[in-house]
Parts: sequence; C-alpha cells; structure tokens
Amino acid sequence: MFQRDDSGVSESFDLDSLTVGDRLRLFNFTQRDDPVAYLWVLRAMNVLRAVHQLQVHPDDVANTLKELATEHDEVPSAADLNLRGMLDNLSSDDEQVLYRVEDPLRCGNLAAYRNRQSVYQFTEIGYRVYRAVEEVIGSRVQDANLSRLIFADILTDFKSLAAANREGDRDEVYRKLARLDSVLEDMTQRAARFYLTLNDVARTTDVSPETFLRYKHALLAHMSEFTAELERYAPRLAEAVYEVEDTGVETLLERAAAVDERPMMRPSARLEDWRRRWIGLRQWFLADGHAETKAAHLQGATRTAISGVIALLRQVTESRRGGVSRTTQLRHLAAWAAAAPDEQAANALVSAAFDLRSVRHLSGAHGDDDQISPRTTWWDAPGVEVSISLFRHGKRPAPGGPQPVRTRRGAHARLREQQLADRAADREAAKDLLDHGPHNRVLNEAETRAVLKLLTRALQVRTVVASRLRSGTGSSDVLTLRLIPNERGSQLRTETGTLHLPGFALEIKPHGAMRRSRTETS
Amino acid sequence: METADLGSYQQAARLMLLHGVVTESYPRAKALALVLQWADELAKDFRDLFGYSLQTSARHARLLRRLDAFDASQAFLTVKSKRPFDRRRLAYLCLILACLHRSRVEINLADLVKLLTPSANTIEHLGFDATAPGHKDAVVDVMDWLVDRGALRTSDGSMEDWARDHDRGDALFDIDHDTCAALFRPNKPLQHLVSAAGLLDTPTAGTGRDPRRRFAAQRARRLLIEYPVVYFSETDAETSIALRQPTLAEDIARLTGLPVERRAEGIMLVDTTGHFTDKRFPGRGGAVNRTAGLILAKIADLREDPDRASSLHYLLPTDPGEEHADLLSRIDMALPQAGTLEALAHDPHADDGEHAAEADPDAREHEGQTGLPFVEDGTLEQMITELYEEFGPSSFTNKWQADPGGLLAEAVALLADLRLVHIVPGGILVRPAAGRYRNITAVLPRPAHDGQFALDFPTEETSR
Repeated sequence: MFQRDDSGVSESFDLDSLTVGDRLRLFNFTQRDDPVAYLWVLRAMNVLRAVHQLQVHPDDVANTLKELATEHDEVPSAADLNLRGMLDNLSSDDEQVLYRVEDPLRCGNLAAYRNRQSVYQFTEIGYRVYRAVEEVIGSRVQDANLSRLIFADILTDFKSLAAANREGDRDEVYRKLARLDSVLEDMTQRAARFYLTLNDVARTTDVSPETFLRYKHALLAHMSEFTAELERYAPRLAEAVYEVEDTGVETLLERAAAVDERPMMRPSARLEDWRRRWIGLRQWFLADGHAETKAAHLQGATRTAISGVIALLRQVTESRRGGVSRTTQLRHLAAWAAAAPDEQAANALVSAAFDLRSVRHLSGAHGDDDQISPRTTWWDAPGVEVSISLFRHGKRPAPGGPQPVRTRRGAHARLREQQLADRAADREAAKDLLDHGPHNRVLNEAETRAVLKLLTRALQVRTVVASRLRSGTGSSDVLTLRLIPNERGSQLRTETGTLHLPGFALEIKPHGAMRRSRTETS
Repeated sequence: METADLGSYQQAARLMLLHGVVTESYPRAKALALVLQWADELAKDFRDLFGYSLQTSARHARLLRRLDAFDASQAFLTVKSKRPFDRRRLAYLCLILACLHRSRVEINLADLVKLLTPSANTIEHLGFDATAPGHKDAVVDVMDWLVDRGALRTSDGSMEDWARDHDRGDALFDIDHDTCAALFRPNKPLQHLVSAAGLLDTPTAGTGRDPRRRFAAQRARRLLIEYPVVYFSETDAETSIALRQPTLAEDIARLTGLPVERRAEGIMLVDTTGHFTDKRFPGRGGAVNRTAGLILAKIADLREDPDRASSLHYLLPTDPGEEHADLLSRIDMALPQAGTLEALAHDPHADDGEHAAEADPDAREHEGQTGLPFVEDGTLEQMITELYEEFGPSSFTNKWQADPGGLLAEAVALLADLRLVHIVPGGILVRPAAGRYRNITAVLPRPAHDGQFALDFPTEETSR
C-alpha cells in the first residue's frame, strides 16, 4: 500500500511534501489536555463539512456543538471552551489539521474589521487524520467478519474482465480491475480484522464468557462456511485468473493505465501501479513458485482460528462448570501447595486434589496360605519365603530375556552331558540315601552333598516361634528330608567328618512322584 | 466371564488401579488398548466395589477415586530420579497445567516460561527466576512428568538445551489437551473448599443401617485395594466387620487376580506380580529396600531372643484418626483464603457434626488395641552399625557407604510407608505385618569371616 518511488523524482507535482515527522504531528491534538473536547470540535467541523459548509466560523462550531449536545451527553458546552484558541491550535503551523483563512466576507466598518475573525477549514490531510482517529475510536467488534459471499462476485468480475479485455473495452477493463483490487483489499482487511478481533476475544474471555458462549455457534459456523466456500471457489477462481491471463496481461494493464484518471501521476508510474495490483490479484489465487496462494493462507488461518475458538470454548465451558475455571483452580492449588508447611502435606494435598494416587502392596506370598489359620497372628504364622538371590544380588530369580542363539553345539552337548551325568549321580545318591537311610553308616561324598543340600533348604524354611524351633522340610525330586525336634539330636557320619545335629533328628522319605512309583512297584 | 479372559481383565484392572490414568503412551504402549477392551466391565466393577468411576475415551482412560483419607506417603515422583516432588515442583505443575490450558495445540518452553513467570511471582515464596538455582530444574522435572504421562510430546528441541542455556536452547511441545484435562480432576472445585477435608468422600446416602453397612463394605474394599496392610485395630467397628466378610476377599481377588492374606491383626492383598504397587517390598529398589528388609529381620531377632525380648517395651500406637487430623490441619494451614468463594464453600465441619453424631455410638469404638513392640532409635542405630560391620560398608553402595544414619532413616521411612512400622518420637513401633518378613536373615547366608557371601549389591542399581 505504501509504495515508495525509487526513481528519486518526486511524484504528484510535489504536493505530498509533508515528511513523516510532520504528519505524525497532525495527531498532536489527541495528546492535548482535553483531547475529547478537541475531538468534539472536529466532529462539529465534520458535521458542517457534510453539509458542504467548508469554511466555518467559530460561532458556527459553537452552534453545531449545541446541536450535537442535544443528542450526545458527553459533548462539552461551547461556552466552557476557548473555541477560538482550540481552532487556532488545530490550525497552528505545527498541526495543520485545519487551515485558517481570513473571513472573506466584507466587514463594512472598521470595528468589525478589527474584530475580524478567521474561518477554518479542514486540510485534506487533516480530515484524514480526523477520520483515522474516529475509525480507531469507533471500531466495533461486531463489524469483524469474513465475507464468504464475496467469492461469487470476484469470479464474475474476473470473467467480465477477461471478456472486456478480449473485446478491447478499455473502460470496462479499468472498472473491473479497480473493483477486483478493492474487493480483495477489503477481504484482506476483513480477515485481518476478524482474526485480530478473535485474538482479543481469546485474551479477554475471562471477563465475558457469557458473550462468547452466546456467539460461539455463529462464530464457528461462520468460519467453517467461509472455509468451505473458499475451498469451493478456489479452483474456479484460479481458472478464471488463467483465463484473464490468456487474453493478454500486458494489453490489459496498458488499457487500464490508459483509462486511469489519476492526473497527478506519470503514465509509466500508472502502468507500474496497475502491474503491481495485478500481481497482487494473481497471488491471491495462483501459487507463485513455492509460495502458497493467499487464499490458501487464509484458509489455513481460518482453520487455526477454528481450533483456537474450540480451545477457548473448552476453557469457557470448564469454567462454567462449578463457576470456577480450571485455570484459577490450578493457580489456587499452586498457592496452596507452595504454602504448605512441609513436603508431605503438600504432596498429600496435591495428589488428593488431582485425584491421582497409586495402590501400594507388599509382595511375597505363601504358596499354601489356605493352610494357615486366619486366626494366627502375623508373628506366629510362618514368614514368607524371600528368594535368596533377591537379597543377595537384588534380583529376582527370573528366566531373563531371550538370549541370542549361539551355534556352539559341541560345547552345548558336552555341557548337557556333564549336567545329565551330574544329575544322574545326584539322583543315584539320593536313592541310596532313601534305600539305606542316613544314620548308622558313613555317607559317601555324593550322599553327603545331597543331604547337605536338603538340609540347607529345610533350615531356610523353618521358623522359630516363641524361641521354639519347629520342624523344617527340604525336598528334591527324589526325597523329602524332614528335621524333627529331638532331644537327643543326631549325627551323620561322612567320609570327611561327623555332622552333629543337636536337637534334631533327620527323617528321609521318598518324595512326590518317587513315592508313587515306589508304591506302585511294591 | 470366560476363564481364559480373566487374566487379561485382571491385568487391565491392575493397570488402572496402579496408574490412575492410562494414555496412548503411558504407562506403556498397548496398555490403553487393553484397558479399553474391558472398559465397560471395569467401569461397572469399580463402581460396584469401590464407588470409583472409570472414564474412558479413545485417547485415555482415567480412574476417579473417592478418597477416605489423605495419604502423606503418596507423592508425585520425578521421572528420572524417582524422587518425590517438592513444593516448588508441585506448584509449578499446577501453574504449568494452567498455562497449557490456555494454549493452543503447541507451545515452546520459552513461551511457557513467559506465561509461568508472572503467575509464579504472584505466589509468595515461589516465583520463577531462570537464574535462581533449582528453578529451571523444577520446570524440567515437571515437563518430564507431563511428557511421561503423554500430556505433552516433544516435537523439537530439547529441555536439556534449555536448561543449559535458556537464551539459546528451547523445546517445542505438542499439547494433548485431553490428557491434560484427565490429569487434574478434583472431585470438587477447589475454591469451594474452606478445608481440604472437602476433597474426601463423606457418606451422604442415607443414615439407615443398610446404607451405612453398604458404605462400610465399600470403604473396606477401598482400604484393602489401596493400602499395603489394613489393621483391624485401626478401623471402626463397621468397617472391621466388613473386612472380615469372606466375600470381600473373593471380590478383590477376582478383580485383581491376587491372593488376600488374613491374619488375626488384619488383612492384606499380596502382590504376587511384583508390579502392583508404587513402592516395592521386598524387591528391587536398591540399598534402601534391602536394608529395610534386614532391619526387619534384626527386629525379629530382637523379638525372639529370649534374653533381650523381655527388655522390649510394648506401647499403644497413636490413634490414626488423630494423625490424620494433624495432617489435615497442616494442609489447611496453607489454604489460600484469597481465592476461596465463601458463599459456595462447602463446610465439611457442618457435615461432619451430623455424621459424627449418628455414627459415633458404634463406629468410633476401636477394637481392643494391643501394644506394639517399641524399638528405640538407639537400638536401630546399633542394628545398622551391625549390618555395616557384617557386610562391610562398601556393600551398601557408594551413596550410603559413609552414611549409615541416612540409609537407616530412608529404610525406616519406607517401612512406615508400607505400614510395617510406625514412627513415633524416639523410635518406631513395629506393626504386626512386619512379622511376615522375619525370615529374611534365614535366607541370608551367614557371612563367613573371609568375607564370602557378603551382600553383593550390583552397581547398576545403586544410582538412586
């Protein structure tokens, strides 16, 4: 929009000579002591301008202010204002919102001439300043919308533009092109405003959730209809743009520039201006290289906005449930937890408030809990078995993960043979023990090993109740070894020495499958 | 239900009870599918048995409990080091969730911190300052926790970079609003509370005998499923009657697939899977866990030693109701008055008054309390010294090698959390269920003088 000419030649016969600093000074009146009064003065001037009274006298302004005061309460009374001073300020060299001229009317007498007053008129740029201020002040959320109906017009305009160019109708080309330009400009403005407004709503929704809820359906419908329409028209519009291009863009632009009625522009600048506008138009609907079309951008923006509105909706509905929003609840809880006197209290509070906790249980079960009476106390009931490796290595005995397959079969086979032989020897020893009993003979090395193994198991599981030892059992697949309390105690003679078992006698019996097979054979 | 399916159903039930919230990625992939498969049955059973409600969507499952009491041993743990959140982390967690709530589908850490800072600064003694020690770590721990539970997903960058240099490093997160909403589910609006007691479940349905009995049965099941051990002496008469019902154990065993152990002093659910708990015992968990076991064995020795057992004092434990009241008053002490909506506030004391009056005659009457063996601090210290002598300090990992006192304190705290001991001024009271583990020494090979069989703590598990 703000094009600068790079040629260095000042355009438009040097009429736009004010520098940026000068122009910004035009807004000075908004910074004065009583900006509202200044605004009303300008409004009065505008009312007069509307009735084509271009040059106004301070008295006219005072009268208009009085009229305005009947409709609006906040209009300052003209009597309280130094109207003339204000108008002079507005027309001072610094501001130039107004232009002061001497009253052209003839005075007739000297007194009147001495008392002659100035009349004031909006400067062109001053009027724009006033409009800009009014626009900012008067902008309303309600106005923000995306217009979906515009697309049909755009399509028709493109079609007529193509037709006009084909027929060589210069005026029509100019009209259509100008209209397309302004329509799309309008659409951009609307979209920008709409999304900005939406952001405002999102920011301030805590203040007015009711308003938001009232409009949420309309808002969502509006946006989804807009995207749907945009999607529907986008390919047809792109086609229409191609159609126009087929009729010759250069001729089109030359024609438009030729009819262009801006006299204060050089023809080449006009052509350049139109070219710029055309490229802008084209970019709306046709992808330029890698960049997306503006239409696609808009569609994306709308989609994002829809998700934003839904997020907003989520917050608002949450807050209506129970009257307090989730956010404020969380803040409340944060303050609560932070002020807690100790960590435990804070954790107890937060886990209760989140409603997040975990179950906690002890492990280690009895294999045969049914046999223990529920009436016994925990101290009398047998203790649970805890695996040795758990406490020695901190690991549960587990099969472990799958191991990689190794192909050293020979080694495996040898180990396996060794293991089988060992186990066979063990079983043999156990059977010998079973057949001959542990007492009254010297146990050989294998038998000793078998007995000791079982003894270890029996000792591990036995329990001490009220400092009285009870019996314990240890069993392998062949035999069961039982420790029976016995006052005389017992001894085992082995090849390497004698094992004394004070207070216990050993009893060895066949175990499980072995017992059955033995009873069957016997 | 088909017997073949029972295992899968029980697994789903255990998952829900253990984690409370299950998402597509938490606690592990496929967990959600398992829970959803049984969603209807589970929802019904949880409601019938405990009054809990199970809410499921395609993205998450959430178990909403009804709490009977505050539990000081429950804590949110950091993902990596498994340490409980401190107050700063808890407050940040709340504030960050609040910030996420206001955000769209994604947010980066820098923006989040920008949102967090003003709200943290409004809270006295909290605040956020990127240059202050610990503040950034707290944020990272909270974010880790949220990522772990699937509420956030890191799509770019990393938190470590940010923690190292918050001007350059940053991380981008996708926000799963569903899960965020599922994580924070207070059963009452917090501003409506004038006391934290309002968060607890109070019996509202009728005052007749039957509803009261039904409520007691429900409470009994909740106690059994939530806590490691339930002692009859610590519950009121109605609950204790309900705890003794044989159907209770059957229901719970069918739901969880775990056996229930009954003894004269109480009842407990035995975790045979090793996973149905947030604090495992006995089990892996490093030196603390094992030391706790050894201390129990030492205590059992002390009890069974005819010479020393006679010198053991038996003391009555404090009333659990009093302890809970103390915890509650500590929580209420911190209640921010500013945010409370007095008009809507729910006054638990008014309710309590009524209920207490009705329930008092029989419900408050505790079973005959028996004394528990009291082990003094000095004796405990002696025990840990003995253990260090027997096994050598190096077997208690690098961390604890020079700090037997610290290890003892941690181990005792663990035992207290497991309801096996009760910490009192000057020592501990040993609770009955500790008797289950008195065999631990028996399985320990007596250390030989040459050092063989010393506790062999593997190094990889020591970094707690």
